[in-house]
Amino acid sequence: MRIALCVKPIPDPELVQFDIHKEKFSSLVWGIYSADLGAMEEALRIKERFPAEISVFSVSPPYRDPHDLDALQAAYFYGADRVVRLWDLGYEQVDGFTAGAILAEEIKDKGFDLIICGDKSGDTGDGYFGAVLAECLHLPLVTGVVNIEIKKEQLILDKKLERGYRETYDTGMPAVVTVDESINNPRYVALLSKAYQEGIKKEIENKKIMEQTIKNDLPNPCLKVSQWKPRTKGGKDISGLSMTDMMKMLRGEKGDKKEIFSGPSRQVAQQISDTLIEWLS
Amino acid sequence: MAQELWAYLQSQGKKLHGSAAKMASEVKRATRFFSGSPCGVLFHDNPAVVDELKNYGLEKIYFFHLQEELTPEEMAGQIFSLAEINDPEAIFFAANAKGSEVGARLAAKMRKKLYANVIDYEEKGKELIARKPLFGRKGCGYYPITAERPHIATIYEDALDAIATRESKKVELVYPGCSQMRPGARRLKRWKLPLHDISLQEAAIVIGIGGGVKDKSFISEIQELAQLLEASIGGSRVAVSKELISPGEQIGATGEFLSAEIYIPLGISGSNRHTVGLRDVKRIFPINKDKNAPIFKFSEKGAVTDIHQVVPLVKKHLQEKMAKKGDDNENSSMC
Repeated sequence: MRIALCVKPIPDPELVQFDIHKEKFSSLVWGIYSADLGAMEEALRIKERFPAEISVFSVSPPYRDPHDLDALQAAYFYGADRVVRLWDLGYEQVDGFTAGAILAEEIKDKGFDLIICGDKSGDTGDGYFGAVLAECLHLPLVTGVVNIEIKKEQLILDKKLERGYRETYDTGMPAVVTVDESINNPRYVALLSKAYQEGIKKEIENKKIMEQTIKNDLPNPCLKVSQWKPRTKGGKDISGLSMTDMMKMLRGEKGDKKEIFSGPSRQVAQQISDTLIEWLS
Repeated sequence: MAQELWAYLQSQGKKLHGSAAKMASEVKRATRFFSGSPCGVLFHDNPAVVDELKNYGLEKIYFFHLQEELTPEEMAGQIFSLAEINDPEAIFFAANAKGSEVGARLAAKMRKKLYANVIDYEEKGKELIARKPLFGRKGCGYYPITAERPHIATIYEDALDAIATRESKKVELVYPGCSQMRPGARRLKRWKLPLHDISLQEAAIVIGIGGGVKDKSFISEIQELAQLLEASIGGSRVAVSKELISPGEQIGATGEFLSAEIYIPLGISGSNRHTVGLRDVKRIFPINKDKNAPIFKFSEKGAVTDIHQVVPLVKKHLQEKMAKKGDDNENSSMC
């Protein structure tokens, strides 16, 4: 089975901070995180169950990780058979639309059975890379997957909905699958482990992007960044609000009068249960 | 043809999803930035539901009258076919799971860029800029809106608000035919995880156990209450230290972040480390014997009382009300 795993190195979302003095993000620890890491782990688990070859693709500049390694090198530590970077553009970044179009051009007609990637980007929260890939490749797409079963030539996929609901889909291969971050707990590859020692010796293939793939799909670069700024609601000026009051406004409380029950336990219990029943209806 | 702005109005079973009215308001608001009349696109089996949307400024709703719920792939396909005929100026979706997926599929089909998670638009001279969150809510990025049309965007959920207009307006209903589609993936079934398998992050209702819970013997009362409410159980760091809950059930800075509809913290004071995990919770109902507990700052309603006395009584009241509701349903079905 041939698996194409598409990843995008990003700064670790847990560590990144916004520096309000320099007006830019700091503490940038580049690597493969969030749903992409889940996709990588899932590809490895499939390889452990079936004969499979994993090729990792990325449309990204050569970011360096904290050990001054190429941020994509980690894909080899995790067990990828081949890692390909497509870059050599004059841009600092590309959006999901452009990246999807570029990758589709690279992997089409190469005989991949399963194309897998994270559901959402851990930096922008965008989730349409998989849709672009599927559309450009004319392949079925199932998103938000939290369980993958392979039976003969069919994929049986559980998709995560809201509030504990799931849907099960089946589709033939080849297909594009995007995975939810909660699909698994990715393994940890220790620095001096055998996987690390072997992976560090492997080469990343760097390929130029064919210009004709992007001439109509120019990236949409970010003009600037700022600290977090929610939408002002109801004409209110939020610049002077504390974080507590801003959270209240975001939850829609808008300074409504509080109702805090107290008194005899029986009476309060009645009030609590009436409120809960009203909220639940 | 007159220009139109569309909003995907989401259904939820027989009802409208909570985001539908918000998206109706949003497309009306979008007329500040884009030229066109505000319209909705709705897939539902009952045209009467559009009455709930008459106060939000919509001029037209494209109503796909269907008995069966379509998959996101099928919905995107139908909207695509409709857009090819009617050529809207912009199409907006709520940036929840379904809206994001339908929007993404539609943008990909139309070979248009998707502006995902837009918090707001800003005019800078002749240019229109979209502001989006980066790294959760650690910062914002500003992206220019290109001239390509339709503009397709998902709107950050917290930015949405259902703002009713002063007058209700009769909304024109248009019934587009459904085009034949062959979906790539086949939906086999929809199902729900058992309550104990639903993660805290996904749970609709969560009960939080705090240091105010005296000891483990009270946990079974809380568990029974949770069963009644179909709630998951989490708690504070103090509750973990007291071994009232497991470390995996901790809510807050070093634990889980909730997105629940309702959170009921019991005996939780509300330290910053805990409340940081509550920013996406819709409603909080703290119960604590200390009226000065910081947790009360985060709620519209709450109760100052001893949880050990009140929880068993709440459980009893709820059991009685639910039993009565069951009897009423049985009686009405016999008429």
